Amino acid sequence: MAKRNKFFKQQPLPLAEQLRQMKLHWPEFSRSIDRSRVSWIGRLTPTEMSDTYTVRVTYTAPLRPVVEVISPELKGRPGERIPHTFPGKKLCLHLHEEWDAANTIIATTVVKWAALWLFFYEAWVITGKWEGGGHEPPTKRGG
Amino acid sequence: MAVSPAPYFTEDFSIRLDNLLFIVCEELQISGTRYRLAEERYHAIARYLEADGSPFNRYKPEIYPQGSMRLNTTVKPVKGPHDLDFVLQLSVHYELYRDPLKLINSLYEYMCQSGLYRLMTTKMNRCVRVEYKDDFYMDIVPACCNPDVPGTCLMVPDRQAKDWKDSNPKGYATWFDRKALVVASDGSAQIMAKAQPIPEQQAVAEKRPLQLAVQLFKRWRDVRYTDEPELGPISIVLTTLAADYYGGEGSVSQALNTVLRKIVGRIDEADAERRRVLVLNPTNGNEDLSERWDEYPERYTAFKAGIREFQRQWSTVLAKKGNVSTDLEKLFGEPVKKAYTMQAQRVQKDRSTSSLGISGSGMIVPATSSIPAVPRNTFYGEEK
Repeated sequence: MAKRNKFFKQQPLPLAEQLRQMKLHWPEFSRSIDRSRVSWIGRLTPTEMSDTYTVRVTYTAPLRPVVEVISPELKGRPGERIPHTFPGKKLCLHLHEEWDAANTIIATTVVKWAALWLFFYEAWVITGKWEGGGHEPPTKRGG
Repeated sequence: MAVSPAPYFTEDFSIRLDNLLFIVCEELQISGTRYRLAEERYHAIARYLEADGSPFNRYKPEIYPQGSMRLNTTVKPVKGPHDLDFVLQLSVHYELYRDPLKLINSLYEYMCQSGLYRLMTTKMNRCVRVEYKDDFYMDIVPACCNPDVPGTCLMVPDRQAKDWKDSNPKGYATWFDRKALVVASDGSAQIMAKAQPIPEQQAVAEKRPLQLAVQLFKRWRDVRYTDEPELGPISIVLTTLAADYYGGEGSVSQALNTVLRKIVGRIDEADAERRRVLVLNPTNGNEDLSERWDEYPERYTAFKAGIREFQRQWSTVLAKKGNVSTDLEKLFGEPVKKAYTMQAQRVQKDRSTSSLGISGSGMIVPATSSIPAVPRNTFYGEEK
């Protein structure tokens, strides 16, 4: 097998494929397309003892999808910032290298990671401890 | 016992809530180490009381746990020492000790003769208290037989009353055990049967829902009246009310719901008739376990307000069928955090072994042939 040229950027997965996979796995999610940017909005309930969250996944290939919780508001804990979030309370679901626009299917990864994130978030709200593991960023850049 | 599916995967709110309450109860009960320590200590005291030279030796003393230790409803105190109650039963007619105080005095004096117990022993109203340095005290109630009454009735000295008082710890325990074994005919007993305990919870899983409900009830009391503990209803009153109204529900959350609803009903009835609720000893209808409410009416007022509030809060929890973590934490305090931590750690462990999937509603479920394991990810940190 030919060695991959590291300077050669692989094409992102065709948007149609991401759309098809989302439709297949998350048929209840609504979607809107604005030129090259696509947004899906749908609901996730991590457990029977969880809130039901409305989340929005926004994707502009080949950038990593942005995941936000629309409702209920993530109130967190008084005086503490919510772990594993970007500014604007966008969820920080994976390392930079865990997103590969050429291969990663949003429906089977990012959306599911969001459900897990919400589970650990709820536990954190009550316990003050994040049990979901992960990394703290070494620099200002996160992924 | 089957291990799969693990309890937190269940897609039923009631079972999930019960599983969480199991962990809360596990956290609340006296730890295995402390339990064994208590056992060792009471065996040591028993040996001392049975020894040659003991004034009780000739009365075939029998020492055994009563109250929460016997009923398996121990609850760690919010603050202060753990108290455990024991009976020193003597096979002698109570009238032999004409003066009831003589019995409690001779127990106290004999304990003080021991180099070990001398500095640890205090005389209380109905018992002799042995206080250990490690936040632990054992109350020993001396008791004589009352052969005039059939069954397991005892007479215990009461220093304030300077008289004997009826007591029947064995009878009470038998009554409680029988109540705990009641099974509802409406199928609600099935709920808990479906719940699969995690290994750490085995001890609690073997308990009956009534025992768990009593633990939660007592814990609620400790949290609710933490600033004014003297206003809180005493354990025997809560335990008796819970056992009285337990309807054989298989689910601890439902058991608590039934018990609270019925107590509020009884308070309403009593209010309408302008009297107070009487909590009678089930083994002795002449004994009003709630007699202190006559002397301290503010405690009865606090009891009524507290129970009504708890009942409202609990029915809200059951109706919510969602995220009730803060409601539970308000009611039962710290152990709720521990329960959530354990559940989260369990999910994390299964996630690390790729055993978790996500269902179509975004719910965490076991990975199966039709629900693939969630691909690995690493939650990253935050941008400053």
